[in-house]
Amino acid sequence: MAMKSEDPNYSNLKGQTVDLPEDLFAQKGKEKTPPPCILVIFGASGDLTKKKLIPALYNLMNDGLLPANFVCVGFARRGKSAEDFRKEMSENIKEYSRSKTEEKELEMFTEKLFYFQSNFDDDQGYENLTPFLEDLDKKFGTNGNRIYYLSVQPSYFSVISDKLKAHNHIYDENDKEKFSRVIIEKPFGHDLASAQNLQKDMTQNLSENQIYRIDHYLGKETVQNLLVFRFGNSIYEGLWNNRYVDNIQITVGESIGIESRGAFYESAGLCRDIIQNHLMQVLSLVTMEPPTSLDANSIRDEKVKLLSAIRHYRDDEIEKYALRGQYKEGFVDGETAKAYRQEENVNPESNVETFAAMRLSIDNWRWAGVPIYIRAGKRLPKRATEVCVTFKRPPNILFNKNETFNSPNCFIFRIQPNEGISIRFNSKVPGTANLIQPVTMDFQYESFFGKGVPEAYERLIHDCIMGDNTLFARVDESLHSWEFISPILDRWKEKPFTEEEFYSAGTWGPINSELLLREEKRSWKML
Amino acid sequence: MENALNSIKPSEIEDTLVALFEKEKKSNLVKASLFNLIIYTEDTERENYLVHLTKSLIKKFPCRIIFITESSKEGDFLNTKVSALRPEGEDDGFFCELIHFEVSKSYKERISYLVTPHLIPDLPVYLLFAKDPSSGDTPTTLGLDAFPSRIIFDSEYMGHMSEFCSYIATLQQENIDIGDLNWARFASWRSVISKVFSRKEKQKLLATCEEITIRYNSHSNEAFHHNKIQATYLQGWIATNMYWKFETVLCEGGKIVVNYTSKYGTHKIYLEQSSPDESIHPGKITSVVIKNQTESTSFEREESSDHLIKITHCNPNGCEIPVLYPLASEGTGKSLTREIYSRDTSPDFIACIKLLANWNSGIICS
Repeated sequence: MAMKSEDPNYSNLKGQTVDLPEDLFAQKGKEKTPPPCILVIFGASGDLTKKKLIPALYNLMNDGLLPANFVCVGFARRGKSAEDFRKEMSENIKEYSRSKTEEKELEMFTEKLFYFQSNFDDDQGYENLTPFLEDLDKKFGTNGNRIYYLSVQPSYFSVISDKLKAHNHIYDENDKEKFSRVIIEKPFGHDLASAQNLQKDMTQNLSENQIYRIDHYLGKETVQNLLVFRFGNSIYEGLWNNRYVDNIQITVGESIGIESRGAFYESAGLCRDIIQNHLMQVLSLVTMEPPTSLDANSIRDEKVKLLSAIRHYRDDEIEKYALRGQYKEGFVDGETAKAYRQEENVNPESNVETFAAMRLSIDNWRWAGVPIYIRAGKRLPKRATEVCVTFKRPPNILFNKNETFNSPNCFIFRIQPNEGISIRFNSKVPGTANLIQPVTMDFQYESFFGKGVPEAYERLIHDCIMGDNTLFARVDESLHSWEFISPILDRWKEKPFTEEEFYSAGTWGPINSELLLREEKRSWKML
Repeated sequence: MENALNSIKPSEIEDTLVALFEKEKKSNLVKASLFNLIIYTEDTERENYLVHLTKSLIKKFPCRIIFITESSKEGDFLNTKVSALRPEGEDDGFFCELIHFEVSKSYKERISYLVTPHLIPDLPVYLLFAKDPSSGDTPTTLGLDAFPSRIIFDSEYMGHMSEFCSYIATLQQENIDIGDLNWARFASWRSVISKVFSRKEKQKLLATCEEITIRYNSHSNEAFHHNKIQATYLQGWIATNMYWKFETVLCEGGKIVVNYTSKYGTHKIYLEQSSPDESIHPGKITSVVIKNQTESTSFEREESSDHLIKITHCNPNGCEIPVLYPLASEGTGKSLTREIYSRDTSPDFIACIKLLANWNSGIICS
């Protein structure tokens, strides 16, 4: 039955009521329901599964965002019973979940956990996986839908996708009955050539729409809010260009070292771990043009345009604008912190960077002439990921003839921790003297929305179940990023570390990083 | 300070600050910080004075305080405490966060690492360095010179005047914004003398003066031993502003006598102790008398009011009617506030410091 609404919002300009679609309430009453599925996690014994993935699934269930017909299968090399796996994961959820755990809910959740033991390259394992999953389909009504989460060393990405395809675990993209999707963790490739090769291998088995390249930064509320801040408000967009912005700084700082990831770091280094993916994604969201719509490809198109506008360094510019560092002994939280070269599974003469700082230029109309400074590092004084958009100083005519007196205005986006946004402006100090000092206007997620901000992995896994790949990196984003980074890594590889490139653990990186900005009469924002 | 508090690990500081915020919120107190203030000192009697000074400061200018005490106790240790500091004697509805590090000598190299993560971003940083930098520990050697917008020294801690001044002169060459509490303490005297001698007919007296006598309160206490610093700074300020050439400095019968020359002849400046007065700050200037052969101008604190100066000008024809001039309020914490909200390094201060660096002597007549 067509309904006539009396709500003035549904009236047209002439005051006449309009016909509403019959399924209006069906559309408005509830969100799209997540389809039934089985999530198979390859590398189920790893840290990521324990600390992030399983707790994320638990929280999704608690928030009613998992399908009722859902099963998670841990796929790993170690022999383990489903019961042991459940017990282990139960403990992990208690330790790492953001929400308080209740025994009843925990039990409900762990009932959906199963374990499958096999080597990643063992054909028989993949053969046996078929009846195992089909059996679960029957029991739990998961309709044959599959998500494969590759939480494994990147060298296994091609192997696993080959095996999945060979043993019919991957369906045709156009299959209307059921779906299969593959989530892969970073890094996507080791450099430009290997990323291209990996893409070639993956697309032999999967279509681009079936590949979900996860970058957990994109799942963070604060990163998603960059889009809302920029394009959901009208007062900032007019300022977001080279007429008003003096420089942009992005810092990804970690106070921890490489912990038990010595072997990974030796093969990857900080640039591949953080800059090529997380930092470039954040940069593109801060500086891209408005997309024409919020669908995945519109947003990704704009990100790609931006990434392709980053000016590549000439050979002689790499040394000047792309700096690296490696931590030596120092102090963190009052305790002695060992040098990178003393860490477990690290070559005592390692040439791997644990810090990088760069000055980027974006060659488009919006950002021409605005330097973008990025830095990331391990064993810095504190854990902090921030974007700081610094505006040009006002003319020193009225209040402060002395330039040092006048702090520039800044928009500060705190990605983590203390998620929020601050605006820094100058204010008069109370009193008769005309003293001015910078103050901040602060918005904190936690104060406004409470402590229940979802973890990045929750959002991303949910999106994958829903088939929305907006917050996953498209291959061309990754390749453009590699195009910029690879020549820098090649150059660094050739050169042994110099004395100035080392920094004490617990400091903000090597002195050259300070000099990079000081030469341009700027400084890194204090974090 | 706050001995009743439990020591925590440095890694627990931020969580403890959050817990503190939640606790104080229940008492309707909000956290307030206009800037970061790092205070570095030793565990002397003067530490309590610095706490008192800080409490006075936060009445008007709340801030996050990182208070570092270098302990004289033996051993290797680091004690970390976090507390809420409230303005002295008032309930203004806010509190300031105080992070206190007590470090043994062997842990000094960790100080800058301890401080860095706990500075509030986007707010200015000030360092009050309450230790003699000529002792070997300086803001630079302790790694504390990288953060602050301004380093404020407390010359009360100076061990040797020319070494102290030489160090400050070196820092100034590195373009670090610096100040000194004792310099700020007699700002009102500089102001009144400048005002009086801004008139051309008065300038002649100063240029040709043969004798200046500066008297200062000889009272001293546990927190203030060096009561002649302000008077020494004042004479240096006058001499450098008049472009006089330093000749000698002597100690004669408990007085400091500084000899200068200029194209107008010789100029003697006497620094004399006045009788001890516990009611006013140790070392406070009590009078200045400037004389040439024919004229004199005297500036004297009014006995009835500490904040008034009586200015009397005499010439061979007699004395003019005295003028009373009000001094700016000089309560505890005012000098620190003044230094914090000063910008750049005062060129007059640096000129004075450079002059004193050439005295080649310690605390004279001590």
